[in-house]
Amino acid sequence: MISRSKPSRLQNSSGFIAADFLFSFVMVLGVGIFMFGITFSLATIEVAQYIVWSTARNHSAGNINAAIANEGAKKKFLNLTAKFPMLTGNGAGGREWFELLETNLKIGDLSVIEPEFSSEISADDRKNNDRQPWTGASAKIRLKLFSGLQIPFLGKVAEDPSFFEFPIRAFIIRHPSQDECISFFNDNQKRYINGIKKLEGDALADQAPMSSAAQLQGINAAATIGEDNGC
Amino acid sequence: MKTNAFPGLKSNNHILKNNQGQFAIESLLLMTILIGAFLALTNYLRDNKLISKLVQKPIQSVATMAGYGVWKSEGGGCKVPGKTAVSLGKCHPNAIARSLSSAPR
Repeated sequence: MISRSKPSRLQNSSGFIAADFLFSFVMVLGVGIFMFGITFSLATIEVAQYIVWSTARNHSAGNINAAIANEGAKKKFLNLTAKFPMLTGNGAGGREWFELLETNLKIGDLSVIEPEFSSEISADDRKNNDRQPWTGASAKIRLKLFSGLQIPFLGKVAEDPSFFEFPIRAFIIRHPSQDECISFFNDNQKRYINGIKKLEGDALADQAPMSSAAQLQGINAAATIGEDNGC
Repeated sequence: MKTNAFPGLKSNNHILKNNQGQFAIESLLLMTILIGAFLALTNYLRDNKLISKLVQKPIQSVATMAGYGVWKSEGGGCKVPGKTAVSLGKCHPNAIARSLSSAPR
């Protein structure tokens, strides 16, 4: 008969799994927090990009004049940020996880109104007013959640929080505003007198050619010229 | 009465020859070494800000893309074809160097 004595306290390993579980739990929790932080931050950056893009798109419509277009775009920004208080800080009462504030919002030609950006582009680009490549909106996002994380045993995620605050920009060439259109049309009546009126007074431009129509000689001018009033 | 398989051998019940508790001592030793190694490793990672370095670079790439439309970093990474390193703004897809197909600069 085999007799088995009761194991002594020192030989008892029944608590081993508890220690192992606690250790793994802390590690998994740490990695889980990290993964949650990074994925949530990336998703929020996407949301912020949409908000800034939508602001720029609103501004691009031109509206009555530049001031009203800016106001409309700002309103769009505020409406959208209010939908995501935890992600933007608009209406979160300081409990937000991210910040996308109106105070950092810039709308218009960013090569002129945003020094941080204009210092990065070339002089050629700054002067390139015909293309308006830098018209749009810009806002700064701050990843408060992620930059404040501290992982067990591994320390802080953000030693330098400035890495977690950066601008988001969206560029859309804007349409002429109503005021610009009227001003262009009424610019000493040149546009009308030299362009539209001649077309209206004469059936075909090649019968009473405009100054530029001389270049069209030899071409079927009637089919080519299609002057509009720019509006 | 059966006392010992080898009559010449002394009994094994002397205090110095008792091996009960050896497992406890060895497990303490192993635990000390393992915890020490673990703490040394995590301390090294903390001192060298490894987790911070691990995160900052990818976040910086995302930040550059969100602000300047390129994945490349400031200085060195951002280059105009055939030229040296340029600023991030000059690497933006809207920049004159990248967007003019008729007369690229």
